[in-house]
Amino acid sequence: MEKRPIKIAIAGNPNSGKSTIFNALTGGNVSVGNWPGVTVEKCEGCSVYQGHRVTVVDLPGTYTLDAWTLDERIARNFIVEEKPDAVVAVVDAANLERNLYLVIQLLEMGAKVIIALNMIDIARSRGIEIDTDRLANALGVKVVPTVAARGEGIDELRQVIHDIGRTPITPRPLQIAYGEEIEQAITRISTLLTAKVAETEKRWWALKLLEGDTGGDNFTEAEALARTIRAELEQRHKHDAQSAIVERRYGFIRGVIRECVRTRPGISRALLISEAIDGVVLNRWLGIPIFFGLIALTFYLVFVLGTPLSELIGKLFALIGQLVSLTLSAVAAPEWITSLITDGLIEGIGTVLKFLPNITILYLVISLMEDSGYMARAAFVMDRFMHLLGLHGKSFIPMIMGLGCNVPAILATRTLETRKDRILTILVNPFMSCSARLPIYILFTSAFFTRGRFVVLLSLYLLGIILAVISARILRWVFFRSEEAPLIMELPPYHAPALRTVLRPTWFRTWLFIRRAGTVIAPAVVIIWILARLPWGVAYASAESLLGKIGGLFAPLLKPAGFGYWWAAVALIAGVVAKEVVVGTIATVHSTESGRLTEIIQSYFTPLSAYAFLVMSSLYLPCVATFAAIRRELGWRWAFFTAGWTLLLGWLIATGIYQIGRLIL
Amino acid sequence: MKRLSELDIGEWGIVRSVTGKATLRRRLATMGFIPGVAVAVKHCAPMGDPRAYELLGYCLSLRQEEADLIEVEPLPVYPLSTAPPGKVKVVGIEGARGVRAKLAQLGITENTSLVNRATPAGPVIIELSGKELQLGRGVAKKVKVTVIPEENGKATD
Ligand SMILES: Nc1nc2c(ncn2[C@@H]2O[C@H](COP(=O)(O)OP(=O)(O)OP(=O)(O)O)[C@@H](O)[C@H]2O)c(=O)[nH]1
Ligand SMILES: [Mg+2]
Repeated sequence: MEKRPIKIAIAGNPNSGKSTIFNALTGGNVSVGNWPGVTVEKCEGCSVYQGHRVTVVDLPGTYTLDAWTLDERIARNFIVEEKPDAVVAVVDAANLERNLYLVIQLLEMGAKVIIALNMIDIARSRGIEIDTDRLANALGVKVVPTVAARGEGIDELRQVIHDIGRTPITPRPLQIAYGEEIEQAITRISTLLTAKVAETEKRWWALKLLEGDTGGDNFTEAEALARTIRAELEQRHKHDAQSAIVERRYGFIRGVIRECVRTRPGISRALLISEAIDGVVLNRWLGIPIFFGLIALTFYLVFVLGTPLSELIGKLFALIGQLVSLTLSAVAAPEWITSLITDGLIEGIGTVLKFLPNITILYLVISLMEDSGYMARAAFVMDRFMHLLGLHGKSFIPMIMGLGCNVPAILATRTLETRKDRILTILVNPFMSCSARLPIYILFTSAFFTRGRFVVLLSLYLLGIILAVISARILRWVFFRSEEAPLIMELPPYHAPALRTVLRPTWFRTWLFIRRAGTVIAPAVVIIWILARLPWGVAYASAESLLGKIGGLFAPLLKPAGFGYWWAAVALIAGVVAKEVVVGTIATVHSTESGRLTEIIQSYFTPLSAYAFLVMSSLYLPCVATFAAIRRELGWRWAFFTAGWTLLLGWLIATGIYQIGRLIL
Repeated sequence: MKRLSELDIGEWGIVRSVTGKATLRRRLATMGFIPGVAVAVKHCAPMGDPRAYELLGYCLSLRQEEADLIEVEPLPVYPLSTAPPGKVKVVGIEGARGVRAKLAQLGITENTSLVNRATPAGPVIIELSGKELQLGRGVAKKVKVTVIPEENGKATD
């Protein structure tokens, strides 16, 4: 048996279940959700069958190999350029006609294709019966029926992958009859293709050029010919060659479907329910109120349900702190060790982890939205509104995701078509308050705004959104005046979120938060603690400590905003590492003072300056991870621009609020 | 002949042609907007734009701008009592809640497809999910159906 490592790609239409199949094959943990465009990055895993390993690559979904968006390009380039040994085409059986289009393109290309006929449970419930043997014969490929969400058919699929991936035979490309004129054109273009193209691939390249794709420097001559032929055909028929090719492919698919598919008249319950929900959610008048209602409900749950739980965790950490300091004094540990552990680590980490319940609830709700199918609806309902702001309906999905964490949200912009939309959506994303900012909000609102707490919180989120909107308008006006991208977006049927697909990402994201407590917050807190004790002999966390000196440098800048304390400056600076660290730092710095943390900050802030601080910490500077994500997607320039822009706005608005508030109050 | 943007919610039409820029035309074509395909308007966002359509058994959103480029031939709508024989699709049900609920119990709601036996008199006989059902003429009159061509999607030469 051959020892060469085999690489298999998983391709298919968006939302056909590719990532679910990938996870089932490899035991991986990539995110799954019920809207087109969950996966935006290729992801490698490994499937083992009878001791043999195969590398499996999950790709973003794509309807065609034409590739209109960045995520589709990632998928196309992988299939076309990196030439995997075989492609598992995941096909949504309930949506066979449109899904087969991509399969046809793959077959025309000459790829070695295995069809995973997924979601047959849904197809069956809609009365669609597919004869898999006939389908396999008609297309000349292996077809494995699967229900990936329940793990059915995965073993068979794994076996087929390992068998096919290892056979060295390459299939003959599928040939569809395109009618006399186009066939002639294909022949004419083929003759111009240089020897760089293999004989079997010539037809595919000719078609590609005729469809208007570019082939790079190799084919300038053939490309020019393709262009003239297109113009000729257009003149003669008032009908372009590109659409004619697409129509022929669909004609072929129709033939295949007639042979292999039987549909019983009727309608499935699930589809009925889905349509009934859409009747309400997408209603002309109710759509937007429902959306805002859902968001309000989310935050209500986060705060009202989360707070008692978080108080519990707070008590737990206080208990741990007392126990540890008792133990330490019992073993007569040196003062500085006791201080490092209790003042630094336990206080700093405890204050952050306390907010775990709130954050978990937020993630749970976001996961529910993702898996139910509501995300695409939100984009649909808000499209017009976003349009007014100079953004695209699809920009809305990254903005909702930003409420969880800005980093995946920034990656999610890859589903946007124009660079303009992508840049704008990325630049405004840091204004969406991520979950790491929740601890700051909760700590300060509970200290200062016991009565109007919910309103204050809402105002912070709203302020972020309003600034995102204004920024988008300004940036668009200054930098971009290109044309609009169409909103061609699939709305998948709702399904009841599966417990597993909701709890898994919730747990995963929560776990990341907990892990960050160890990997980011703990080191940050230790550094803060060290700086607070240096130079040797100085009183802990006094203005004379190194930490106090550093903070003191920046404190005057914050004075106009009402919180010109050195430790506030330090907290904000440290918060750039990760926003939770703001609260961790404040706790560490004040750990030796008596009283609860809320009482301590009450002694420094007035409600007005506290509000200014909240505004500042919600707006100023993206965290390092977000900065890096922006840099990766758009480059240094835009990353620095975002940092500068958010800092400027944050400072101006915090200062404005404080100064104006002082005049009024 | 109408534009897709001019169809009302619930109406069906057959795509006849798509105009506009070549890239957009090709893109719409790959999503299924090719001559002969049946399309229905399903939902409409606030302010009337964008709208959601059903075609090839799935749901897709388009802005009115794009829907303007697509020419369709609206399909005639009949009461089930006088509909032609063969496979028909329910596009609407008139009448009070009671009627709708009763029909829903039989499995007949908007979007159900069924086979009409087209009896000239007496109760209307239909076939649904492999079973035969009888409906009174009066009720059948309230069920609006349309005939979606079987050859839907075949390339026109
Ligand atoms: N009923 C049913 N649902 C499935 C099946 N396979 C996947 N799903 C669900 O379909 C949705 C889409 O699954 P994903 O794996 O995220 O799809 P994808 O193809 O990776 O999507 P993109 O990354 O957006 O292209 C999820 O909500 C899954 O739970 C199946 O066989 N039956
Ligand atoms: Mg995916």
